[in-house]
Amino acid sequence: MDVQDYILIDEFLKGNLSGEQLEEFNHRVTSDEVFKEALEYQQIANTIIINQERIKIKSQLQLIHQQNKSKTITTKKWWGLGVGLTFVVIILTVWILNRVKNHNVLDNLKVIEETAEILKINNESQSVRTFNEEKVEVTPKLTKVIEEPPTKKDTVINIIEVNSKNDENNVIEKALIKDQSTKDSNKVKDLKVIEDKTKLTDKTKIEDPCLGVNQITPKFELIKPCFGGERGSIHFENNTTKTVTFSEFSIDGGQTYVSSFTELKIDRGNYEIEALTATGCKSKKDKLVVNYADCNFVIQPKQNKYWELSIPESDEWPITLEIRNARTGVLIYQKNISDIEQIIWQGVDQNNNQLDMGNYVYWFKSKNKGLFAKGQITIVN
Amino acid sequence: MPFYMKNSYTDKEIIEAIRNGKTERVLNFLYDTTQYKIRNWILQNNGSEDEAQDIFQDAVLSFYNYVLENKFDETKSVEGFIFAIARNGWINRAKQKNKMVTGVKEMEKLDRMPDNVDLISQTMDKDKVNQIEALLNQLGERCKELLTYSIFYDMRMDEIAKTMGFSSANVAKTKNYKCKQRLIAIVKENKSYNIKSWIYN
Repeated sequence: MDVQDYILIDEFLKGNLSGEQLEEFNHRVTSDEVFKEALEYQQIANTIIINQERIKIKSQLQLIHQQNKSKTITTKKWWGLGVGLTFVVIILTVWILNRVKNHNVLDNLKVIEETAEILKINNESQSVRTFNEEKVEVTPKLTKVIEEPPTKKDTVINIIEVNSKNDENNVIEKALIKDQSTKDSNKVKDLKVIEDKTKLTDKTKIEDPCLGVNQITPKFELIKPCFGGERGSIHFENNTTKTVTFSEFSIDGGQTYVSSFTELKIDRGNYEIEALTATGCKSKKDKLVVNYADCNFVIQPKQNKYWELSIPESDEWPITLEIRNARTGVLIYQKNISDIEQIIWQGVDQNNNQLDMGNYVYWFKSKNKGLFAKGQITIVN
Repeated sequence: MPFYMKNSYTDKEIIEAIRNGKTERVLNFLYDTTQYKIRNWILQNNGSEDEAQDIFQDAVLSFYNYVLENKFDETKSVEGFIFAIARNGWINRAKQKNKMVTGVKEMEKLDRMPDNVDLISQTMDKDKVNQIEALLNQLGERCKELLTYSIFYDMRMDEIAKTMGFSSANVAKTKNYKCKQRLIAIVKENKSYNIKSWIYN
């Protein structure tokens, strides 16, 4: 089929033929088999293209529909999740509030247990009494019922009835107790006996559980060694016994550190420090003085051995390095350092002239804290 | 704002986009504006979700046909037109299925359409779809695109040249001829598909 026929068929398929042309076209179709076949194939080609585009459009619409559907489902899911979460939050809140409420009640009971260092049992002699509808032998006893380290002081508790079946082993299974400090009485609690006292006294005052800690007045001074070296350690000592050991301490009431002062990034300065026991008892606060030791260096510029120093930690920038002649005090080198960086001093003055052998002093200063590190540099051959 | 970045289109822009073969965003827009309405109406009239979606798709394609064959009255609203096609389509389909005859009568009574528009059913069996895909895969993307513009969208050669980056309308014309010949050759090579029958269906 030639191009002319192709164009003619194309025009026919597009409906662009005039009446006369159309007549001529129809005549050819009926009389020319090759032309008729060419028309058919061109029609097929058009049909294929039209159908493929229709399929494409339908698939696109289908895709949009599915995306929309999944969006709706996702939205619904999120709504569901949101509603579910709200319920969970409400339930949790109610539960927590309940817990807090219960906890307060339990705390009251706990206080009764924890603070009962010395207990007074009413002064009835051993007798048989009814306790929880059960006949039990009541043995007045001074009993320590502390399970956890005491934290409260001056709480007096009366145990007014004790169910003690096994007196020899000091086991009290049940006790009717009265906490005089809270006026909370007639609570039946299971108490575990830890220690017995031999004598009964009325309204004995409980010893302050943190008393031992409070009495400690430790003295600290920490000297931070030279830049880049270990930062030293910290010790807690009791002035009288010298045996007090603390596993934790706090600086300026801030973060609590666990015996790791060597890892503590603490700047030069004065701080307040207190020791902490595992149960929350705090020592008296004391001043902690942190300073840098004088650090001396020897350099050999002619052997390419220079002063390579790490800048000391500072919470204030810039800091200033000054180097002076040790004998005359004349300033020979000054550098403002704006951030932590490595400084290499090659034994030169401000104009980069090599200095003579001898002793020089250096110091680091900051605007507000003043001098905070110093030492000597010796230039040798 | 460029056309492809817009989220909302006027009827004129929609028609223009269809005639230029730039329909992806238009389809999204048509879905957003008309699908929900059609779906609700079909569901209210005893149709299913799937049927509603099918009718909607065919209505959009029918609208395309009207536009491409210059039969669409541009004074009418696109949204209303697509809805009218879908409504007609659903009434006819319900009749064919003899589904809820009373309901259909009611529908016809209540929703007598102002537009004499018909839904062109585009249902194609899967075999036919697969065969078309197989044939066109041999043709190549560029030829497929070119033929789609010239045959389906009936675009002028200078428009095709501009859209596809050909140097002139003549180049587009020559390439169009070659692509069509190539497609015909592919069809001839695949006689087993009984493609001739397609044009009479």
